[in-house]
Amino acid sequence: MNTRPEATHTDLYHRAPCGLATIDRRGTFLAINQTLLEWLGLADPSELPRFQDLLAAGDRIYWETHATPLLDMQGDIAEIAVELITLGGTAPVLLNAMSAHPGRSETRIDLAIFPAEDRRKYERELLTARKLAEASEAKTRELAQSLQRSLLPPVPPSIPFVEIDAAYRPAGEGNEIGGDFYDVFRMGTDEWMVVVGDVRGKGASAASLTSMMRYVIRGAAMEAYDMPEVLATLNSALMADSPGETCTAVLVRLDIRSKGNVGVAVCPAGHPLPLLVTDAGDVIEIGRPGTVLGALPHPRHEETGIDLKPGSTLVLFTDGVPEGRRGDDFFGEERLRELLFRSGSQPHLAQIVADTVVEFQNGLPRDDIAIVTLRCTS
Amino acid sequence: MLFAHGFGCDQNMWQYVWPAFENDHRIILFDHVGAGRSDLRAYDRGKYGDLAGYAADILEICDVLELEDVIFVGHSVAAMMGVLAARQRPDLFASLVLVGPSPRYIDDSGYRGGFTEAEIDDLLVALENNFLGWSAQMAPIIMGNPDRPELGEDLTNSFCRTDPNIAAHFAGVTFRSDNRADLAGLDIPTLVLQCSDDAIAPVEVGRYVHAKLPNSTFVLLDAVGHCPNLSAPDETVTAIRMFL
Repeated sequence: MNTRPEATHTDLYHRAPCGLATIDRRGTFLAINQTLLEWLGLADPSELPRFQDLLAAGDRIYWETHATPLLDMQGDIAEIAVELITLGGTAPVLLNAMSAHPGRSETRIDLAIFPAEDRRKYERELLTARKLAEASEAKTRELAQSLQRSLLPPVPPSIPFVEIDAAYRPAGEGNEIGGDFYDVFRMGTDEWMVVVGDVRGKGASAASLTSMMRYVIRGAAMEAYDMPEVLATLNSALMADSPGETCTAVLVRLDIRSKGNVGVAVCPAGHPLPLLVTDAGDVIEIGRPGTVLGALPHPRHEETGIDLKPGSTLVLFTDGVPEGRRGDDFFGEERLRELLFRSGSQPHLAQIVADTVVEFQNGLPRDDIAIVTLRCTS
Repeated sequence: MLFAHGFGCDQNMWQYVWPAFENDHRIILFDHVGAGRSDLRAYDRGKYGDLAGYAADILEICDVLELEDVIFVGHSVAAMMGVLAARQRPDLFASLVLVGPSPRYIDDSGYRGGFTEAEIDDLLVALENNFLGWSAQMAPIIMGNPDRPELGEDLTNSFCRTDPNIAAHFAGVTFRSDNRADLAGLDIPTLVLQCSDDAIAPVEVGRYVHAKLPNSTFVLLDAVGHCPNLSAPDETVTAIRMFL
C-alpha cells in the first residue's frame, strides 16, 4: 500500500463507478472523468459538445425549464432522470448536480451521473401498471356511480303542493357506492312516502342492502298505512336476511289534503331527527327517536304527526351532515340550524346544505351525505 | 411591476431580479394556477386549455389589486400570456418586458420555432420520467392541505414540482401554442429580451417577435440558456432598467 494519496484521488476520479464532470453555466465541459467519457463512446474530451447537446430533445427542454432553474435557485438537484446521447444510441441515467455559485453566470456545475438502464425499464413498467390501475379505477368509479344512480330516484316525483329537493354526495372522491339513500314514492291516492336511510359500510354489500331496504319499504308501505308497521316488517326482513347488519332510517308520510293543507307524519328509526323550518324561520326537531333497525326483534317506533304549513320546510338528512368533519371540528347541529335559519326559504335547499357541508370538509366529505327537503307551497 | 413566471417552475424564478426594482416600483409576484403554491383544485383543464385562461388571470390580478400603468414582465410562455392580456386591455399596461418569448415553438412552413411535434412528445415522456415519485408522496401533502402550503416546503425540487397531470397538460398547452397572430397591432412599448443561445426560444424567434411588434426594442443578452433571470440576473436587470 505504497500508493501516493494524490494518485489514489486521481484514480478514483477517473475510474469512479459513476460519471463525473464539471461544466460551466453555458454547458461547456471543464472536466470529465474517464468513466463518463467511455460511456459516451468518446476517445478524447476535445470531442465533447456542450452538456445540453448530449441530451435528447425532450430532456433538453426539461433541463432548460426545470433542472438549471433549480440549480440556480437552490444550488443542487438530485435524481434527475434523463437520457444521454452516446455513440451507440441513448443511455438512461440519473443525474445529481451542484452549482458552486447559484445564480451567478460564472458558476461551475459538478455533475455525478449514474447509469439507470434496468431501473428505468422497471420504472416504465411501474408507470404502465399505474396507468392500467388508474384506468381500472376510473372504470370502477363509473360503475359505482351508475349503480349509485340506480339506487336513487333520478328525479324525485312531483307531489302536489309540495316542493321536493334532494341531494346526495358519496364520501371521498365518489369511487365507492355509499351507504346513504333516499326514496320518494306514492302510497295511495293522496299519500306519499319519503325515506332517508343509512346502511353501514360501502361498496357492493351496502348497495345490495340498500336495494333490499328500498324494496321492502315500498312493498310494506303498500300493505300498511302505519309507519311503525312498515318499519317492523323491514326490521324482520333485515334480521332474517342480513343478520348482524344494522341500519337507520326515517320515514315520512305526506297526506295531501288540499293546497296549503298537508299533513306530515314522521317515524324515525335510530336516525337523526328531521328539522322543521317554519315560515317564521324557527328550526324545530320533529319526531321521537326509535330503535335502530336490525338490532332487536321487537323494535319501538313512534309516529309523530304535524301540519306542514305553507312556507315551512321539513329537512331530512343523514348523519354525514352533522358529523361532517374538518380536523377535530364537526359541522354539528348548531351550524346546520344556523344554515337553515339563514337559507331555509331558498329554493334548492338540499343542494345548498350539501354544498355547504362538502365545502366545510375542503371538498372531500368523510362520510356520505343525503338530504331531502319538503316544502309546502303557499 | 407584475412578474409572471413561465413553464417549469414558480415565482421563485424572479428571486434575483425583482429586488432590484422594489425601491421604485410596487412588485407583484404570483404563481400561475397549477404551479408553485397555487390552489391546485382551481386548475380547470377547460380554462387553462389555452393561454387565454392565464391571460384572464393576469387581468383579474390587475383588477383585484386595482393596478394601473402596469409594467408586465413575463418569462418564456408567460410573455405571450402578457401579450394576450395587453391586447384585451391596452389601457392597463405601461409597457411589456418579454423574456425569451416565443409565439410558436413548433416549426411551421416559413417559420422556425425550434421544435418538431415529436420532440414535444418526448418532453412529455421526460416529464413523466421525473415525476415517478410524485403522486404517492407529494399528493397527500400538497393536495390534502391547501390551507397549509408550508407543509410542501421541504420537498426536493419543490420550486419546479406540481401534479404530473397538470405539468403534462401545461407543457402541451405551452409548446403547442400558436400566438403569432396575436402580435400584430399591439403597440405598447415592449422590450424583447433574448438570450444568445436559447434552446427553447432561439434568437430568430426573438427577432420575429421584435419584427411583428412595431413599438418594440430588441436586446440580445450575452447570457445563454432560457432563463437569464436566473443565470445572468445582473445583465437582465440592467437591460430592463435601460428600457424603463
